[in-house]
Amino acid sequence: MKRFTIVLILGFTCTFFSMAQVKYEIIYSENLGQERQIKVQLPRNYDPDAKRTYPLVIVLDGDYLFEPVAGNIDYHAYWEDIPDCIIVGINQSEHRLDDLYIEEETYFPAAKGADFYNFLGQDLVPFIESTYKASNFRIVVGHDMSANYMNFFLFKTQPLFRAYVALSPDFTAEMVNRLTERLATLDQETFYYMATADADITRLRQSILEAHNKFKTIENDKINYEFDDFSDANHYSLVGLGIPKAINQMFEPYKPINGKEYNEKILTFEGSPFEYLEKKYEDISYFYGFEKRLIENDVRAIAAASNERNDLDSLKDLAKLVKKEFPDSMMSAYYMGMYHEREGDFKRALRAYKSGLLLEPSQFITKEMMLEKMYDTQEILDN
Amino acid sequence: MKLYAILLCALWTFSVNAQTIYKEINSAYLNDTRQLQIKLPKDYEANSDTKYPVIVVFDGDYLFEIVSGQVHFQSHFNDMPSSIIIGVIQGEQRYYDAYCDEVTGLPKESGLRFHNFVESELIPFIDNNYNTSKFKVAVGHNTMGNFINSFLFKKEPIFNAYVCISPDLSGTVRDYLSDRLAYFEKDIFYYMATSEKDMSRIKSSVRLANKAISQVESPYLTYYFDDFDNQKHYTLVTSAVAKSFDKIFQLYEPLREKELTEKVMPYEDTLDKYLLERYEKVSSLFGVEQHITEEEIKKVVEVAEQRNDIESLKALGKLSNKLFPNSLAGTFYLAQYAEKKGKRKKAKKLYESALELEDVAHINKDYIFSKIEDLSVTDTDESNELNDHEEN
Repeated sequence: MKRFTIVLILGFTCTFFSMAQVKYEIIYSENLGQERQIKVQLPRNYDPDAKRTYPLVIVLDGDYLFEPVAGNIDYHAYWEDIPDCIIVGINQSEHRLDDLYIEEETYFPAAKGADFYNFLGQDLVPFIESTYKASNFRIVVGHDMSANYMNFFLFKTQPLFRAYVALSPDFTAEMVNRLTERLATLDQETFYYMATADADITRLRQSILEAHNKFKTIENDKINYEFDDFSDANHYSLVGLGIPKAINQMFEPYKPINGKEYNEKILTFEGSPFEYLEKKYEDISYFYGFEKRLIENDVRAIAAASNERNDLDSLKDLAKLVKKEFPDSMMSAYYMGMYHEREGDFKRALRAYKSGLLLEPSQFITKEMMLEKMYDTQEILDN
Repeated sequence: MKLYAILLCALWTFSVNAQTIYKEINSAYLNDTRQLQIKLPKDYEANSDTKYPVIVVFDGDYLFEIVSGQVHFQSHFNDMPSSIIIGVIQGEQRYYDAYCDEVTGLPKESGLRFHNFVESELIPFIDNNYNTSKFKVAVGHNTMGNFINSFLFKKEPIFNAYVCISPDLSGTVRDYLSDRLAYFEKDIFYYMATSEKDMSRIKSSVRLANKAISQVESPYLTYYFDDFDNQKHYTLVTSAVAKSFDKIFQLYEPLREKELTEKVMPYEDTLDKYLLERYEKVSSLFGVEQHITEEEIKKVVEVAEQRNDIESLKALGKLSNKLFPNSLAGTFYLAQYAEKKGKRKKAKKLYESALELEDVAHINKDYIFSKIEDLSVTDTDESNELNDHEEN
């Protein structure tokens, strides 16, 4: 009886833990000589022992900016439009002016502003990396003053971040010129997003529009630059509109295969559909520095394309890959069965479908579908 | 060594009031228990008199975090009141919960049981356990976006604001939505969104409904509609959440440039009335108390000065004295009024008594001293003239 209760309780905690949970932590920084509050959101079903890593999102002004970023990433990752991420917000409300201090002559961070810069690179990121499964694809998000400050990371030879989300940045002197020069010469794939709005603070809006006019003419294929000028929004309400645009755009290559990609790229690809899939996932891991886990949507697309192109080998390779990636899912049986059915080996197809009955249903494949497949194959065998 | 120190300290945690609470609620209607996600305001205290609006998020499984992120952000800047957010986890029950009659579009069977659960069990449970105000918001996406309309069709709807994100509108609900919204005699807020790449069936019915609702002319209805470019059925959700919450609580926002120039400047009565009306509306609409700040009075005083409206200056001075009796601001405004009216002695006296009160950031005491001096000089000038006259 006791055992039963324990199992039950575990069952409940599991369902609850599959929701995102935020941890509030305090970290001591040698560079700052003080403690800092940080907020950490791990992916739903985060597994500390898994081999994989997750993109790391650093949110400045975490007091108010962390929650909307975390909410957006949780939502879009839930639908597999973007990868799961580790999100870290730094509370700055008590130290904001010190942290973001920029010296008036050189227009670079100095004094406490320089300490905060070193804190991020030397204390915070190494701490997160040693504690959680963070990949080296790092994203930084800032608003207003912090959206200006974060640009200083771009001026290093090896910038700490690969993606920058600048929400209504309050540019300091020289920043726009320096950025224009720097963005033109960056040699690593970098994503840069900037946003303003029609009712943004007038002074900021003007300098952002000027900056946009310069940035948009930069010719550097390593830079993926995106810009939004929202209507009917102000300095604050633009934040909720800018975050989802930025994260969806920066993960564009990561997105599930859609109808357009299917028709325009997969069907016309010179290699087989399976080779297309391999290349797509390789490109993703090259660009982001972490592996994308195979998703069912993409499996369905490649299977459909293999069938449409009558490419049996492609289907076979896909079925093998699915079996390797999802050994406990009905998917492995379904696609193996599909392959055998296509090659005309109905006995093996039937065996595959039967073996699937004991496995876990997936998002698209149910027990009813497996049964139907079984009956159909059986019927063919009987005739 | 360095790393070691960092690790050690990282074990301490700090205040966690903003954490999500998970609770189960038993439902007689559903003959089942349901899981709820609950997020209380940061400064929530069970024994306090402060009341908070309630936001009910259907499909909390995937919508709760995005809504609570938006609410956290907006309330941080006082762009909306702190609120209690309730997520309803629906999981695989979702299909049954949203079940509706094809002809009427209204919930039936399992859908009707879920409707009754929300109205007669969930909302009373929240009202009984937390300090809730009467203002309640419902958020639904897809089939639940259609479902929340069923409350709207009741005689006394339990929700005051409806956020219907890419709703899968069906039957008479779709066809009579605009008629129903036109009929209200209480403030109601309705938001609806679709997008360029939304599911085509949803997109066309939502666009049709929008056409009809935009024709509605009712002082009670506040309606907003978004048709996002380049977004899909799932991606449009986050933009819609940001936009709808911004719009629902627009009235609550701090006074900003736009309102000052577009509404305060052309206001026809004295400007203290503008402020008072604004706050009355906020508290009657949202059921929360919001207080006029000194900063806001200052902004409105500036508008009064721009439009050379000294009667407003007087009224705002009185209002300021009433609300902030210890601050010098009100007396200062009254002194300015007296000065502008040419009552110099009275002005001088008022400036002098202002000095005895507490400082405010935007009024410089040196400036008051110089005012007193100026007025004293004119005083002596006046008396000199008198003396001269007497001598002659």
